[in-house]
Amino acid sequence: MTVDERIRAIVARLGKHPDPAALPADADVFRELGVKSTAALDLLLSLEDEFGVHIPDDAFNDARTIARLAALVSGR
Amino acid sequence: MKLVIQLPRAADADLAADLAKQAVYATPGVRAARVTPDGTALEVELAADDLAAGEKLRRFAERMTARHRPLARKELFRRPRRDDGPIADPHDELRRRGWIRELGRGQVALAGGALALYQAVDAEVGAAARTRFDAPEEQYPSLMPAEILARCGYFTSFPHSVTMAVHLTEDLDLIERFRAANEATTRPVFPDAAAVAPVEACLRPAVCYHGWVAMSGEALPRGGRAVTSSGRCFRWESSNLEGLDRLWDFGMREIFFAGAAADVATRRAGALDLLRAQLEALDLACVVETASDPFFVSTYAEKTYWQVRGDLKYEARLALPGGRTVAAASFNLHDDFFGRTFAIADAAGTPAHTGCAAWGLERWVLAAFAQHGFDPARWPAPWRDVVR
Repeated sequence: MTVDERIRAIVARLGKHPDPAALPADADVFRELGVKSTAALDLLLSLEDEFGVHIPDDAFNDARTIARLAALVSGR
Repeated sequence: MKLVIQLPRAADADLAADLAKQAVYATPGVRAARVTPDGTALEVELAADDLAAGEKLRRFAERMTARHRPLARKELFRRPRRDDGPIADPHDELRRRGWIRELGRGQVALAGGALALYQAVDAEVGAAARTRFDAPEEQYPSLMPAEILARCGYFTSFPHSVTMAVHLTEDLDLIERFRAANEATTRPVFPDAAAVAPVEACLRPAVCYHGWVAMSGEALPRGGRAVTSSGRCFRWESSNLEGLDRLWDFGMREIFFAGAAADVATRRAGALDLLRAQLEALDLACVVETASDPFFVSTYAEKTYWQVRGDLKYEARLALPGGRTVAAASFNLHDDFFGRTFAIADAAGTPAHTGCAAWGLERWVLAAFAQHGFDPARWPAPWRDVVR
C-alpha cells in the first residue's frame, strides 16, 4: 500500500467511510470527512503507529487533509 | 493502608495532577493520592485494607497514562497583586467569624463578609453581562432532566461527577416501609434500594446547559447573542471535597453565547477583558492559561488533547497560599456541538458555535480573603465596606 492509501484507511476508519479510495485528498478531515475533532489524538497516534514516526503537535495541527498528512509523514 | 502504583511511564505535571485528583473515583475509600516528585509512581492512601483496590488503581493509572500526549499549556496573561501582605488560608478565620459554616460534605453556608463578596462578584459579572454583552438575565432550575444531560454528552465525559436526584417509587407499601424504618431513628435509613424510582433528573453541573435547551430550534440573529444566568451547580468530588476550594454544591455565574464561530470567539475575548478589569478592581494575583476539564479516565487522553490543542478552555487561576492556585473562572469554546445537538442555527443557517465564561463564586471568596486577609485596609477601597 502507498502512503496515501494507508492514510486513507486510517481516515476512513475514524470517519466511518466505507470506501477509502473515494475520499478527496484535499478535504478537511475534521470538517468534511467526518473525523470528530475529539478523535484528533486517535488520528495522530494511528499515524505514528502506522509509519513509525514522531509527528510534532504543531505540524499535525496544520495538516488537516489527507494530502498534507501524507506530506507530513513522508517528511516532505 | 498505602498503595504504590508504578506508572507505565513518567507523568508530566498536568497528568500527575489529574492522576492525583481522579484516583478517588477508581475505588472506594481513597483518602488521598499523589504522584511522586519524579513522576514514576502513584501513591494512594486508602481508608481500609482492600485487596481489590490495587488492581483497579493499576488499571486506572494504565488507562490515564497510556495515550496521554503532553501538550504545553499556554499562558495568556499573568497579574501580580499590589497588596504585599501575606497570602494565607482564610478558612479558620472565616469559620471563627461565622462567615462560613460547613453543613455537610461539600456544602457550605455563607454569611457576613463572605456572602457580601459572593453576591458582589455575582452581581458585578451579571451587570457587565447586561451592559457589555447585551445579555439578558435568565433563571433556570437546579434540576435538569437526565435525558438533556445525556444529550449534552455529560454522562460520557464526566460520569464520575454526576449528581442524580432520586425519589421513592409511588407505592403505598414501599413508602410506608421507608417511613416506618425512619420513625425510631434520627439517622436516615434506606431499607430498600429498589424503592428508589428510576432516575429522571439530575442536579445541574453547570448553568449553561439549560441555556442551550432554551435556545433549542432558534435561528440566531447576525452577530449571535448572549445570555447570563447564575445559580447553584453540583459536581460530586468524593474525598477531594474540601473547604471552599472544592464544593459539591457551589455557585456559578455564567455568560454564555451562541452564533458564528468568529462572534463566539470575540465574545470569549470580551469575557477575558471583563476578567482583567475584575482582577484589577479586586487586586488579585492570577494566571490565565489553557486548561482542560476533568474528563473521566476512559476519554481523558482524547478529550484533553482535543481541548488543549484547540485552545478551547482558558482558566483564571487565583493565587492561594503555598504557591497553590484555584481555578476561579473559565472561558470556553464548544465548537458547534451544542448548535448541532439542540438545532441552534447561526445567521447563515448552519449549526451555531457556542461558548461560555463561568465564574465559580465561592472560589473568588476563598482567593480574595486568602490574598487580602481580614484587615479592610489591605483591600481595594471600593471593597472595604463589602468585607468589613
